Amino acid sequence: MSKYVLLILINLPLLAIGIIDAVSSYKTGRMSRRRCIVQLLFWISIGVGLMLLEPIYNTLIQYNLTNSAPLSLFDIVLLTLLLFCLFLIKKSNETITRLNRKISRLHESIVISEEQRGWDKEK
Amino acid sequence: MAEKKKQKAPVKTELLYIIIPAYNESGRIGKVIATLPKSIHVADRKFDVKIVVIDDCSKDGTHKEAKEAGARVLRHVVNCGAGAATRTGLVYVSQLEEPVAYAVAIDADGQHSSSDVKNLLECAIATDADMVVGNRLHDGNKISMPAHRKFGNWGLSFVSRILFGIKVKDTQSGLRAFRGSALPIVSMYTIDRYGFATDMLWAAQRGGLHVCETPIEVKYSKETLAKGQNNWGAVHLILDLLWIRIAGSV
Repeated sequence: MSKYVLLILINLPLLAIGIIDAVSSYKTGRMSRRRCIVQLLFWISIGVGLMLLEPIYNTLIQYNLTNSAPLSLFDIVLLTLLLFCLFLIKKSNETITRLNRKISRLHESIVISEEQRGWDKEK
Repeated sequence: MAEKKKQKAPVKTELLYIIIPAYNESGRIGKVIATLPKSIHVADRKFDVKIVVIDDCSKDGTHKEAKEAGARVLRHVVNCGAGAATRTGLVYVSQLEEPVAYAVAIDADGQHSSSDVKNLLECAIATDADMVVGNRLHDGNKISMPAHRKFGNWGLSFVSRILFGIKVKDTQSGLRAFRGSALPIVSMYTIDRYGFATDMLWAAQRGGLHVCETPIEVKYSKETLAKGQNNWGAVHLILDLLWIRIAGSV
């Protein structure tokens, strides 16, 4: 099996999870439409990049622009890990944003209810 | 024939809330509250003024001073930023049982003139606007506004126009009036820091609100200038705006 096909196959589940996650988050109302489109474009561009990797790599090699050895198994693992790191960063960022907003709203509600309680006592 | 005496219908009193987000404003907040009018007459409408101060976890006596001056005070448990404090005020007013006709947000440092509250209200009623922004960047304020402030405000308004298509000339102005029914829409912004001013305008734009601008006076003191944005603050602000443009929210 071609190493490039292997690269695509290994990364395909990650891409699928990214796309499904974006769509399901939008459908369940956890994500705005704009954010969903940005994320879909992000994952699709990675997918397209992976698919075009062979012709790009071959072109670079042909014109001696990389002067590096052909893609090794180690490179595939490295690239997959890099993509996985990107996925983790994205998920962490989303979680932090969601928590930040929840805490902000919670704080807001506590402050308002405390004031109202104080106001009722004064009355 | 008995002449019928024309009797004027009693003027119905409406509610106007003034929202003042404050952080370490002891020594100033009391004076700002004292200068605000108790009621405002615009055309044939009368507004009873109520003041709510949102103390963003100040380390000084802001809370006590505001309360003594007669304002309702909401206290943040942790310091969250000017945007979060303003949003708490907007949400608080929008959740009140009594119907609020208009709300006005004003800075706590005394840079705004209390007479401009009436100007904003007049503009809102005359133009039937949902939101009115006080514009400090006009020829009348040329002398009082320092050059670096003028450049900074102009630059941020330019960035807001490029990123969001906001046509308001002074996007960073803290003096704003809102129709009561517009409060849930304008409080939908997500930036807690100074970038909230632009984020709020963007929320208003997305919500299809009618936004107007009217010239206002501005007074700068040493304290006001010391409390303002520094260079890093401006960088943070632009980064926040870029991020919400890309991601939709913070």
